[in-house]
Amino acid sequence: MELIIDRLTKQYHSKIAVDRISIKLQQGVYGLLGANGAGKTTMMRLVCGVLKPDSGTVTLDHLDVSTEEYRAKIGYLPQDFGYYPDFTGMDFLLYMAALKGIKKKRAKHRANELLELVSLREEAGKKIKNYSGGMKQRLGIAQALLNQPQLLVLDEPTAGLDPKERVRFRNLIAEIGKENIVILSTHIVSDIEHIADTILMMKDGQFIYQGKWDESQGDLEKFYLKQFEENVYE
Amino acid sequence: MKKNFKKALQNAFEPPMPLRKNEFLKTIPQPKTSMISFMLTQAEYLPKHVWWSSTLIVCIALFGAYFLKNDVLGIVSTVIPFAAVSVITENIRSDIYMMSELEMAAQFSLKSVVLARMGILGVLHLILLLFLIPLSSFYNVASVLQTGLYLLVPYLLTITIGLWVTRKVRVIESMYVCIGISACISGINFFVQTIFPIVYEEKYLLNWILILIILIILTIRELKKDIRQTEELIWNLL
Repeated sequence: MELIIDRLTKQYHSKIAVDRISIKLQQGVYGLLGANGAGKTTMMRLVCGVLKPDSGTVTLDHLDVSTEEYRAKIGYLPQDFGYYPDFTGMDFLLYMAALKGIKKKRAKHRANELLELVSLREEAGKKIKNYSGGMKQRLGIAQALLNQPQLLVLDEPTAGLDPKERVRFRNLIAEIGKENIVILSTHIVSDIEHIADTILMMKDGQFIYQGKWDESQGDLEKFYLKQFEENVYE
Repeated sequence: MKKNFKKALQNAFEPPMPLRKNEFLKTIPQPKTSMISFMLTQAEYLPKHVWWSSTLIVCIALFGAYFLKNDVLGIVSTVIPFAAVSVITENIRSDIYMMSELEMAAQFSLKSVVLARMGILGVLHLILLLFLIPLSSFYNVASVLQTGLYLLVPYLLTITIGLWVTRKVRVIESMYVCIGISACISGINFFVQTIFPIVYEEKYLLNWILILIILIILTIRELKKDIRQTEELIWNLL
């Protein structure tokens, strides 16, 4: 399994959001770090086919990002997402399962499995509008896992989760990352420093660091903040 | 005895956790969902007001036919713009409720979702018109062709203007704007019927046909633009 990003570029008016990024990703957890406006979300959207690149390609096992086959293999949690009014947690998962081409019987089984996993089984029949931010986020994580994706893209997934949920989420991601590619974007270093096999640090649309991070290199948070401070003084 | 032994074993030992369960499950081929079956699934997710509005229009038409006879065409052509509202609101529903990004990244992408919704509504409204046109024509001096024109023109005019407006502004308020547009067209329609009934005379039939052709072209153009917009998220740096 290999995700190849080749000279990927996205420009918006005068700002280059993603600037000629090339990288090969294999099974494992990739932590994408960067300050606000570094290009993380644009990068994630390009990898999920939600945005079209100005140039460059994204392929997963030779499948182009624009194909249905590619989309069948991915799971995506956007930074912000909504829901149709009157949807319950279960309705939401069944609707997303239908969009992912999962048959109804299998979808029900999988939805129950995932609701259990994200501790929402009891609230499955409640309207999403009555959910807390954390519950909504957990539901978002559940929908991303519906099709057992080979490529899981999570944009700021821990936003709104309480500390206990964060730990559970980290364990879950570490487990999924053993067999699949997981890209997780955040600006909170502690979210990824223990689970990410590879750290990708973004600044001005480019990777300024990519590779494993071990403690002998020092504190990841300090290194990250240093990049950010430099950015402030520029 | 054997059964008891089996049960005792089950109680004594915990079954081992399955190894590489997901890997195994992924090897099992899953049946593919066809476009038709996807469309039928989407029909379940159409909001209730879509079905209610069509039912209400049928009830109004039947009421008009029973009590008002000759005026039924006027009544139906006045309420038909309200049926068109559902075409516009369904077209932008994903954007309004911030579901676009999730739907775009799914196997059946936002484009398929919108096409499915439009397909279902197309069939529903076709059935509605196939019922309303003969009913309205039956109680009126106007021919079936004329009745069809008098119903389709306000219907398509609402869709064209509504699609154009909602392509520019996609917020929850656009839904109310659409209802406003249909109310305006409905009002204009009623005004023309009352003040200038001359435009419904047979000598203007060609003009009506011409207007209909223009509206069909404009509606197709707007729908195409809208479908193209579903291929990429409207990206905003702000």
